[in-house]
Amino acid sequence: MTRIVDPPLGQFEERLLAELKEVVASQTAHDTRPARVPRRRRAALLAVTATGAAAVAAVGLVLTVPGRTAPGPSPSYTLAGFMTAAAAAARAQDTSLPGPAQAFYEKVELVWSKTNAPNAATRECAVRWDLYPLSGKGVDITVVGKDACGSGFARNLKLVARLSARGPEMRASHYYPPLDSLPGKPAPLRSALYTAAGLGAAYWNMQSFFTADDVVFTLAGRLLEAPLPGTLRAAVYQVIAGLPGVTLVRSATDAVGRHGVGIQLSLLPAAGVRPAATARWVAELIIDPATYKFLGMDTEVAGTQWESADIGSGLVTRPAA
Amino acid sequence: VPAEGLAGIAGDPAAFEAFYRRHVTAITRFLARRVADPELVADLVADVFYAVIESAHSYQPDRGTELGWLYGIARNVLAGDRRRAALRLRAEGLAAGRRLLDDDDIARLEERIDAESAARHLWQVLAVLPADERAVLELVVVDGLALKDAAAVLGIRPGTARVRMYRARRAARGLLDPGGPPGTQPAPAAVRVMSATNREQSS
Repeated sequence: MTRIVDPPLGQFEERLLAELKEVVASQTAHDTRPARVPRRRRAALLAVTATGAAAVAAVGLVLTVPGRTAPGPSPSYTLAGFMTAAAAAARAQDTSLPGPAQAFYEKVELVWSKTNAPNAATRECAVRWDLYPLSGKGVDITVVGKDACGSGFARNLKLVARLSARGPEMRASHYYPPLDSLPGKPAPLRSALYTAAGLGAAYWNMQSFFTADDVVFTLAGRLLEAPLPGTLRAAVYQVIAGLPGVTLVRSATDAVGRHGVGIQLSLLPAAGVRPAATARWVAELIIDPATYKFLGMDTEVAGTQWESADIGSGLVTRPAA
Repeated sequence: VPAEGLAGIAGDPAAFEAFYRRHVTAITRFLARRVADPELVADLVADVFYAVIESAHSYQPDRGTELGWLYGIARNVLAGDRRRAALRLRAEGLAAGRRLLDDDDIARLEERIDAESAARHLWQVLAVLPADERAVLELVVVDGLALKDAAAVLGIRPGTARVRMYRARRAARGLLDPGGPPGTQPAPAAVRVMSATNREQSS
């Protein structure tokens, strides 16, 4: 009798297993089980965001939300002009890095869709809390919030994040270099980001086909989500403007429908990767042309599109014992 | 399966790996019986196991097999209902969640998709049946689950599953019969699958 034996797993299955195990390992410290509640409309988003903030406050944490940047003059629609104006607006901000007993959270709506598979072209979304660390400084924080995704669902969220020198354990891998290790001038910052990119795309939780330019662009985009001092934020804008292949798109829309200016980088598929002929390979940072506030990212690779929109942020401070 | 179920796999990478290796091939086949695009199959496989991490606590050994439970998750993933779990867990960075396949991966998935073409054809033919009847027939005939396991997947009593199975098979025979209603296409591969399964069910 012949017995059919499954072949050993292929590279894809092994890569997926490694990714999943990393997620499982990161789950051990957190109870992230979602509670299903009825779907809600996108219009409810801001109201529920406010509820989340109230919930954070309700568990005894001090919450401070940075003020909005005042609207600036009409934007320039050349890349250099726009980014120079964005840098000037950033320098005018009075923002500090989080202190040793603080963490920054960012609420992000994510929308995922397949552009090359019409039968699966559903748009989904999620909301996450990100807690950003500084190098060598840690804080134990419990955040209890109630989140909602504009297009459809809400859930109770409980995260217990223990931030350490190696980075927030919420994340399966590194997101960007420690904020207080980054220089506030464009040339040194550019050098620091390329040094970081030299650690490899995988180190930064990106697929290995990304080039150093792609990684620097991505790290810079991630940095724009964080609470940066004005000079550092200005330097980030200037580094982005100087990257090869970056272009300005006058009209872009983020994951929650806000209009902005797109700062776009074309990505190149690596050898051995088979993209669909019609697939777009781009990463785009979306910036509010009135305030130069970072709105979100839109990335499309080989028929898969990820969009994110920053929908809220703030500092969480552990109360004194 | 330990008496406490699968709750441990959500926090123990080694236990999760064992579980994954036990079932990843079956899940890939399950999806290849329904989807013919290798990249989509790969994404869906990932989504199923992300959803497993989220819902491992919900598995109850006394209510059905691991595989049946996984098939239930895979059905939900296919329906789009569980993809948000994967999204939330993947929300780790710009590129997370995008799994680009190299040529070898594509070739292997295409082989698997080709191997499941008869079952996929049958799955498509059955699309016209009422959803509840089709679900039982699909799990038993297309995926090879025992009737009681299919009932567990669907959260219905075995007796109810048996009734739905009877109705579905009766309707499916009309669909698959070359002399059936006008406009229906005979599906030789599907007929072979149906016949084989009918024999198995009768024995």
